[in-house]
Amino acid sequence: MGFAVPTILPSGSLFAATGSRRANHVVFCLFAGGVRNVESIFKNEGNLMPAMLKGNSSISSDIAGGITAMPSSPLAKTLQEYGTLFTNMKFIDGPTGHFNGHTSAITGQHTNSTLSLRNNPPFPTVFELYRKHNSPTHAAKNAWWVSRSNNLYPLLNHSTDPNYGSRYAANQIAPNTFFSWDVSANLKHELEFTGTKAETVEDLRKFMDSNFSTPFSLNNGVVNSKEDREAISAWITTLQNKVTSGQLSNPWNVNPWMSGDQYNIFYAEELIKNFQPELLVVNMFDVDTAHSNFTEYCNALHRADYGVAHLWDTIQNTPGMKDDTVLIIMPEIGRNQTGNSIADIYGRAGLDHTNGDPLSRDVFCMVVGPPGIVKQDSVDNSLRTTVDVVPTIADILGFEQEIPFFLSGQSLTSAFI
Amino acid sequence: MRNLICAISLLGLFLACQPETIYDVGTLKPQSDGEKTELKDDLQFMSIAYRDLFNEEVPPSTLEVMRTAYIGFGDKNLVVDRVVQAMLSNPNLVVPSQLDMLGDKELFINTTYRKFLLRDPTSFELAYWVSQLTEFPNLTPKDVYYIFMTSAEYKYY
Repeated sequence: MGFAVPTILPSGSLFAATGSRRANHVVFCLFAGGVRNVESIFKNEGNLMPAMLKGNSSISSDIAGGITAMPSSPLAKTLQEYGTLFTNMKFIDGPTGHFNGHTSAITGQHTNSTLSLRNNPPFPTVFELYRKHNSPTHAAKNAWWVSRSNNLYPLLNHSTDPNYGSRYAANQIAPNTFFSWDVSANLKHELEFTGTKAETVEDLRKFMDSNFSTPFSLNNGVVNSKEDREAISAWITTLQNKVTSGQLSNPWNVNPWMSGDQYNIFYAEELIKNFQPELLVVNMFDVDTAHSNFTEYCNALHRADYGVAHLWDTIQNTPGMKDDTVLIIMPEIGRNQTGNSIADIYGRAGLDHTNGDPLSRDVFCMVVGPPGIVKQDSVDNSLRTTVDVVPTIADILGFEQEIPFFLSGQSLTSAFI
Repeated sequence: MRNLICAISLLGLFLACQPETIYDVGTLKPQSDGEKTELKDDLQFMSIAYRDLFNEEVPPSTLEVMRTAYIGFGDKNLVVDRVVQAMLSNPNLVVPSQLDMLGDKELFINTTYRKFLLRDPTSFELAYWVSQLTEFPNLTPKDVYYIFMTSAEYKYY
């Protein structure tokens, strides 16, 4: 009778029948709507990202007046010092659009111009791979996609692949709209179904359904178990009550206000604190103002920087996630080398992201984690691609070997101990 | 004997001439269960739910809120459930009182079937519901409406 002998793979991880994990949680932050390495890791305008990047260079004097001061970083050192910075990451193939960039990052597959902006992607997402290829199959409550807006991005919680699809989807939420005052106020309800009444209601509904000849099966979204749905619903009620009572007005005390990106991170943090999901993907988007306002793009980058530091601080202060989470931060695309014809009030030209400009394909990636898992204060200049993130997540969560088809990228193993 | 037969015949004739109670269901013909095969899309569902409850078309601003909530969360069952509960919690909603419901359970159930499912209950369904309302007098009319609106049949037309 044979038995499985653990094998040391070239990646350094111990392989067993279901794969060993490097950590039990991954948070992947798509940062922050098209970012050039020029303004980020190369700091051409000074260090706009002091919470994430080492260095004290002052912000360029001509635009400094347009940059809002953020509170001090909650971290003892920069995020860079908690992990490995990949400086030569490329969005190597496909149109340099946000949805294509997001799709590549979340599916681990290259896209082309045929990718529809109205449908779920054709390739399975990291959520479906995570849920299907872990044993036992993981619940949707363990996988979250926190999208910055209702526009397009909710489609990325699952694919149209018939072997995967909505039954393995992430729980998706666009919190800036879902927890807006209007929606929160209008979804408040007083019906209470607890205890015996809940059982009675459920029994009566089963009776009705048993007398209906056409079975109803939900196939247009993620399906949570009854218990998970109740837990999620209770969480939603708590937050919507806080919204309508004004308790969530600028919870980070950012002067003069929190941006939409920062609120998106805030709600991701609420999910982390409440559910400690194993996989959470969150995006930010405000830097896309670069098309028409370069200085505001820098400002949004500065705000996004604070947001990510706040996110890591929350992770490291959440029991169950602390010292057991890897945070991956990466823009989905870059931006053009040459500015466009739109000048802001400081005279700076806007930045588009077009297929023909190589800088639109240059991004960075930061892998952050506890010292026993992730190399600290390390830099990797080797050529890597944005489709490497999905294999990296699979590697961390121990299901890389279970994926039955070829993934275009490879795990960023140089980040790990 | 002849008088008795005449009396019985007259009584029968009299009963046959009583008008049936008409439940106002607008221009829709009550459908049998077997005729519902088309699934309402979720926005259709929420619009129809609003109309069934409030007897008017959903205002555009309300529909937009529903649509925003629907797109903004991936578990559509959960969102629709919350929308239904919110509609039932609306202070402007007029529903029969608990007293009226329990005072004539058959009438309430018949009306509720026609209101939401556009059909009459079968005799079995009616008997079952009447027995449940008797056994669980803490069920409110809104609870019953909630059960109907979250049933599989209500998702179809």
